[in-house]
Amino acid sequence: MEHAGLNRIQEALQKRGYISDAGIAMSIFLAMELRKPLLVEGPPGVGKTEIAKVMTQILDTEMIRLQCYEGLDMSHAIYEWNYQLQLLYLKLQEKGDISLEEKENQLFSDKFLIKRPLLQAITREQPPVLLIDEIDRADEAFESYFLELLSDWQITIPETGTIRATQIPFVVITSNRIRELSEALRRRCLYLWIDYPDFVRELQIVKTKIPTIDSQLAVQITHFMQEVRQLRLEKTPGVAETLDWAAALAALHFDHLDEEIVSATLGIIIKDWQDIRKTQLSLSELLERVGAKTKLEEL
Amino acid sequence: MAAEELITRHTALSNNIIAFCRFLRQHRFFVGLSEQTEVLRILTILQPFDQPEAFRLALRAILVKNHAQHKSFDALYNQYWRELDQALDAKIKTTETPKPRPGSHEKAFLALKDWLSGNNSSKKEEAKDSMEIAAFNEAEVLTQTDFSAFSEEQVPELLELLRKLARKLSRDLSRRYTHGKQHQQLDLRYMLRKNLRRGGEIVELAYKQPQKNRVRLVLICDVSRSMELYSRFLIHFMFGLQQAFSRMETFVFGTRLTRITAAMQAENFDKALQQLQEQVPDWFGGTRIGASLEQFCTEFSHQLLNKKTIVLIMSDGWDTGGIDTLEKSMQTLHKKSAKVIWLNPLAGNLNYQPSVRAMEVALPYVDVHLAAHNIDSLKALLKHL
Repeated sequence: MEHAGLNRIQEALQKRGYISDAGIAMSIFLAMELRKPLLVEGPPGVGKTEIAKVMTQILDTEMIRLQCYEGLDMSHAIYEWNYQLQLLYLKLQEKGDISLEEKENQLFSDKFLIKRPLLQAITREQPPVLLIDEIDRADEAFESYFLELLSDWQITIPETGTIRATQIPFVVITSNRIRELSEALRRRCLYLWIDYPDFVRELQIVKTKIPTIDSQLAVQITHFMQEVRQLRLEKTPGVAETLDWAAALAALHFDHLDEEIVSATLGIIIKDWQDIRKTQLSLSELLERVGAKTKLEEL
Repeated sequence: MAAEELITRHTALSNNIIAFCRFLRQHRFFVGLSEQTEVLRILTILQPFDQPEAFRLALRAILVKNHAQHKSFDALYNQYWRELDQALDAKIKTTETPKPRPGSHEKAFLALKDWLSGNNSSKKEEAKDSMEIAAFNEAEVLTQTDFSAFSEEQVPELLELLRKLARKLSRDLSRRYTHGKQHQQLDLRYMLRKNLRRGGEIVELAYKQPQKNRVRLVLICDVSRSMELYSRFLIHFMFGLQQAFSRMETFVFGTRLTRITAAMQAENFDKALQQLQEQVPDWFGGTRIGASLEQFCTEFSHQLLNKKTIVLIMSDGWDTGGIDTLEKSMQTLHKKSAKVIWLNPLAGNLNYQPSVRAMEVALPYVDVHLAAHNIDSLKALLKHL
């Protein structure tokens, strides 16, 4: 694919050590080109959040992040008044002879306004990257509010009036699919699905991120992870786990996997005790398959 | 729906793209005017003729909106443009398009049918035997044993799970706040506004408290012949859930709907069973899902459904009733409730594909389609409530 914009994105991805496929670069490119929010879904630990960071770097701007959680509300997402300061101000003004009207104007001025991520994002000079992380954790009420913001790019504060966006931010939304998102939100976004990387890509990631690793060990670890993901575990380990594990084993100067090493360090990649038991039960079988595949690789 | 009707000869690329969008729309993609415009705009930026790969990726990024579409997009893309190529090469329209589904569906269907029709009482004994052998092999087998072999030993575990479910549902308090009278937490924002009229002297206090979060449940259970294999599990499930969670209504249906909430509230299991036998006329007979759900919609939906009600339907989707009524009722259920969750005891079977006609019609209106063939699979339900 030859296109100046696309190439730049691929370079930036590579520079950050983010081994991606062409689809990811294309989605980032289009999100920037069409100025549409990018909705990124996929299993945990495949680098969804990283997309926003890459975008920030390419655009050379700042990133504003809103981590969603259950019960996220206006005062944490948009704005809040600094009540303590307001009360203090009122006390100080008691003796003064300012009119009530003037008092109110003062009280609800920028000085007392605490801007939360959404308001910050639309009032910057230069359009920032706005990362709405794990939107599926917030409830539907927040989602519909956010949808409204996406279409109008303005926020109304009852005390002061409407604030229009000075710049429209680049929006990246991530979701782990705990809850289905609304059709309306989906329609407003570009959609990107990131899956666990295949063997070749994952190996590349391991080698890039942990350059000191023994190359045979890297191959074995990657094969092992690919096999473990087939196990239907409660919590399938992601790329982050692969990297942790590879880093740990590399630091211990191992050059191959065996049953003893794996079972001693299994806690790094699998974090649910039932999953650990399940993996341990099929450990020899897993390693056998890893061994066979590694041999095949060498031929 | 025939693809060949759409794949006619357009030489101009933009025409083709519009036709392609229409083609996708027929495969349940939501492609609106804005998406079409964006695709056309992107054409001016990327030169698609030199870079077919980039072209495909760009279309995918713009037109795909969820994971299911993501998975099916590439196949549809290839199908469309390949057939278009063929059409242009041959200068004629291809008349026969290979249907994307060959006999595999048919086979799965037959296998399922065999499996089901084989479930007469003698086979059921067999299933029970094999289960009991399995149960003593390993402790964890119990949670993975198919519900067709549901035994008394599993009841405590099922009840434990249902209690967990109920606990999650009955978490009354939301994490959002509203004005309140409980003198626990000050609502500073409201307090300040309220006291401004007194020149900012704080005279009146204002409080906030967590919002009430009252989720209700409606369970509609299929007790027709095809579900007979699961009867023991079904009854324990209905009884256990109703006992653990009070804001719930329970219904069963075969050919028609019966409300059994009161029976399920009986003080013990035997009494509940007895009442069930008296009240429900059509245990393990035919199925008319559509008509039964329609009956629910007309008789009960206005009083039982609201946006805080979760509808649980437990059925395998084997139906002899009208498809239209089913679709309409599902539409109503979906619209009036918070969520429709379809629990399918068959979905855990490896051969299963939702190729049952009724399932195909119902699925677009189902928020969550879950297997419910063993305790492990039911645990997934916890996540969706």
